[in-house]
Amino acid sequence: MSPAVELKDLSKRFGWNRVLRGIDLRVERGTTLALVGPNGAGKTTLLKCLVTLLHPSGGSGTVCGFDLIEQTDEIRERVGLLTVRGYIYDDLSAEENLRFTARMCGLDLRDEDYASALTRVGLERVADQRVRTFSTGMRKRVVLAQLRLRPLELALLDEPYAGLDRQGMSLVDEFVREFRAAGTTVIIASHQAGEATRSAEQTLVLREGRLESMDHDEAARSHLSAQNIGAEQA
Amino acid sequence: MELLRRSWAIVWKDLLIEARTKQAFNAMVFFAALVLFIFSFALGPDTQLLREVSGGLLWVGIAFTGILSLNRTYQSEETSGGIEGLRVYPGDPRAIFLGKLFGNIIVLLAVEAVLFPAAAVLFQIEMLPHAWELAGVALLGTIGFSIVGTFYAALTVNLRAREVMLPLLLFPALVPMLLGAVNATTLILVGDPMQDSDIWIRLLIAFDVIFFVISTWIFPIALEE
Repeated sequence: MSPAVELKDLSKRFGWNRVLRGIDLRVERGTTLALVGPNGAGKTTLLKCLVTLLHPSGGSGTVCGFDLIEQTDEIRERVGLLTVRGYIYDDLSAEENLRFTARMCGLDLRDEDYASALTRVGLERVADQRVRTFSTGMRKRVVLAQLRLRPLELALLDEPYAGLDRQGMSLVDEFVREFRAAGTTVIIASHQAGEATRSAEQTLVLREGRLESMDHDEAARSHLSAQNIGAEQA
Repeated sequence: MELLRRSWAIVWKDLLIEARTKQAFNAMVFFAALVLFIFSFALGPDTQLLREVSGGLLWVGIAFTGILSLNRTYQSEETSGGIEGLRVYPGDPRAIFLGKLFGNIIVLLAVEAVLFPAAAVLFQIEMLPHAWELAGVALLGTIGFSIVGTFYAALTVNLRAREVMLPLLLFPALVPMLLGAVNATTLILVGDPMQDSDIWIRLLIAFDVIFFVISTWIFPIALEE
């Protein structure tokens, strides 16, 4: 079976700015990878390349066995992306956001499915309220519920712990465990190395667009913060 | 079928947000009314002159007002992470174009439903006897305007000076449609015993078909980063 992600010499540049440089990466199916690095290291760009929102400037790769450039639709069907803000609309309610996602993904869900998805993230009481009134943590819960509406082969979580309280972080960890139990490959990109490595089996560091391997146990023990990753880089 | 379902999901979402915020609709109606007021004051009480130029004035109002709607077409996505929020979903990206296009047509037709009666009062012209013909021309013109506008709005969405660039790119492309719509409307309003408006209506139909095919075909390329 093909790996969940296989990249060979992948690069991405915006004008003269080289954001990703010669990325070689192989992630086996069903595993959880922590991708840590300071802000601006290229983590989000790499995730957006994996979900085919960005075209690589060089190199090649496959995601879930499909070519990164030629088979974008097949990849988008199998990959889910959680971004910092999330792709949700402020003037729709939590439930309406889920309904929109389901329609765009071609899912035929029942009212109970939306209710249980929101109950799962603890938002059942505010299901009809506009997302505009939600806190950062509540918004992230809507995005998590959105991500769980359809079965995924690869879940890309970009800064999933940002802006969350302890309870919210536990919820993210729980979701990662559920993804793993369902056989979904998970990539957690975060500057909060301690949080990201907690749920992962493998850790990689992204610095100035280059991937470096890192001893996972050491990373988990060190509980690197954003500051010390940045300081280490400097 | 799946394409239309996804397009409809976008229309539903955009209209629901517009119904709640009324940001675009209210601004467009006030702006259109203002344009008509200024023209009616500038041209004075000469009813014959007003009747002769009313077609042009109406379409100038619709075009300027439509720009407001087009500028918001993709900007409304910004709170949800921009247009990539729609691109991240699987399926044919043309659903985004069709969804935004239908939404623009509906909003613009709603504004025209206010604009035409307002013009009838301000310019003292009788529109009711020609209501069906005018509705047909308005529909064809609005469809043409929205097709080209929705396409160019996608092209300019990531530009810094998009509010300036959109009309600069759009209006030259709209010349055939504006010619057809203005002449057909004027002929209907001043009287058209020789059925000269037919040729302009045919031009509008041809414009709509040609630009719909081209825009739908190349939209996925325009949507790329």
